[in-house]
Amino acid sequence: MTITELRKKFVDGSYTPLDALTECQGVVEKRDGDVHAFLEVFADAEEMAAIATERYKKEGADAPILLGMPISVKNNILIEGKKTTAASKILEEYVAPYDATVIKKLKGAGVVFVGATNLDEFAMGSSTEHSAFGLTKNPHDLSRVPGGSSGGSAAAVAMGASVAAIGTDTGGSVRQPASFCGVVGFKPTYGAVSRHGLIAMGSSLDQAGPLTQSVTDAESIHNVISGTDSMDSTTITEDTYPAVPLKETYTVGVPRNLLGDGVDADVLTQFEANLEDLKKQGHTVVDIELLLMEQGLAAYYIVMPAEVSSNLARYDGVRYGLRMEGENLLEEYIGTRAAGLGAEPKMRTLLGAYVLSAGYYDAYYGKAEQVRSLMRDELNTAFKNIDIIALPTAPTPAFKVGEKKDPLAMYREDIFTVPANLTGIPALSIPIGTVERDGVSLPIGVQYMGPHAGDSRLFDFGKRVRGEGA
Amino acid sequence: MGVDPIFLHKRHDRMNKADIAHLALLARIKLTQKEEETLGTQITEVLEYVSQITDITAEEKAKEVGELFNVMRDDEPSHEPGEFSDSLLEAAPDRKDNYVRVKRVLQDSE
Repeated sequence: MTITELRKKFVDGSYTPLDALTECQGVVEKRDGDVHAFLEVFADAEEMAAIATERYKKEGADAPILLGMPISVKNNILIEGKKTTAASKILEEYVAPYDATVIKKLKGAGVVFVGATNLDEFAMGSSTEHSAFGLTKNPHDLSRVPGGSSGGSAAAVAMGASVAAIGTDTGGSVRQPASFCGVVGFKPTYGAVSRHGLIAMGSSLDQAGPLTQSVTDAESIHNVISGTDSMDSTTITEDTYPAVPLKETYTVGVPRNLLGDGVDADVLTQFEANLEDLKKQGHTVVDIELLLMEQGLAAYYIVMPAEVSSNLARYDGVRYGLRMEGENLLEEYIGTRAAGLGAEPKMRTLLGAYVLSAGYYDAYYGKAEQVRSLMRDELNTAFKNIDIIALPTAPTPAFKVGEKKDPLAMYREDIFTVPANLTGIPALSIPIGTVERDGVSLPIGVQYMGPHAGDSRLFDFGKRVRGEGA
Repeated sequence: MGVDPIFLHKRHDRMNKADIAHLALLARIKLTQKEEETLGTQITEVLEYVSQITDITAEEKAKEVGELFNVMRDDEPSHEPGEFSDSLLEAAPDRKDNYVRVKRVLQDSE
């Protein structure tokens, strides 16, 4: 079921927001014991659904587009009065004192919040195995991961426990789980959506985006949550970037040099089939060369930990979260962080402290920022001749739980998704087919990237590729 | 999927235990002996991998963190004094009235 379909029924009264919520809760009841997509299912959801149901009776088709839609929220986005843990023990009992801007906007639109979804601790990971509160499994195959870090959000949508979910994407954390779970995932242009009230991981990379069953739904949600915000000075305005026009047909660039070893053969086959579909629809597909993307992954694993080490410095047991008693203030700091942070946040914090330390700063962080700026130039040059870049969302289908123990093997998952975060461009992942693994069909996604502020172009393109609204 | 050949950049010095212990203190995290070992190995591996960016020559390119521009707001109070004090202080592990209580910062000199 999509938002578009629910909307029709809510307006004609054949189905109500209360019915939809009950159905979602039924799915949670039946499947979440195995999948564990949710950290909390909200007890006050009925209240919101009842209000929405009444409003449809009065307002009908005049009701806001998202009114009564059962939506789940990644648990690193603040909802006033709800526990917002970032799946970390250090915030296990933390209750959000205010709404994130994204949440404020969704509340204003009359959305029903079904629950808070699981994630890798502080959104650090590509599998949702690194949650301090237990891993999430892929609803298509319980022996496999849902991707991450927004794995709970993707699984919730894939199993029908909510019509859509909100995730955050720092290096692919919306798009890669969308690909693994067979749903649509969107990472907006950096600054299109306010980060106010998002628990920060990499502040120059983080964006909140929707996970949905259709591109139309992703667009509906993006239109509600985006916009300039005085609480986030990095949000963009209509003048920040040149307007990106929609076109009758698009020229799609394929960076062939990135499709070598390390990309699953079945993923490649599906990707090539998608390119053929694009041609049949009248779009032009051309080969391009992006030479800096490999270094991009390296640059990402410098910039991100650097920002992590700064952002996680606030968890010191003083103002909120866990505090471990100690002899003196220093003992309390180091004891609190030892007990409250998991292995991956510890590793990234240390790595970040290292690359930012005097003597290494220029060699690592300074160099990484240079790479980033060169990548931006390279992409801007590419977008002079093409409209959209296409790549597989991830090099593989969903992998097995426990398969990737080595951090570097896990990082490799992000090779196609990090360039959009490093350069701030928008990217959309849509399901394009399935591959067989051990007799189970696993979803595969393709990723389309557009120039800065090209969000609407990606929605237009994605809808046409999927034949939505045709 | 195994480790790709691109990860085999063997240029970086191994992090020894003293390095890790020093980093951990800088980062304000107490590590167990076992953590010192595993994190030492992992960080060394990641550093070896990311060192490939030192191959990039971009001296002419200025370092930049995103697009930089000033964002101003009107210089006036945005909310009533004390409007959020209670809900924010509520989250503190140890509170006394409108203060967050912590261990004393300055120790007695011997």
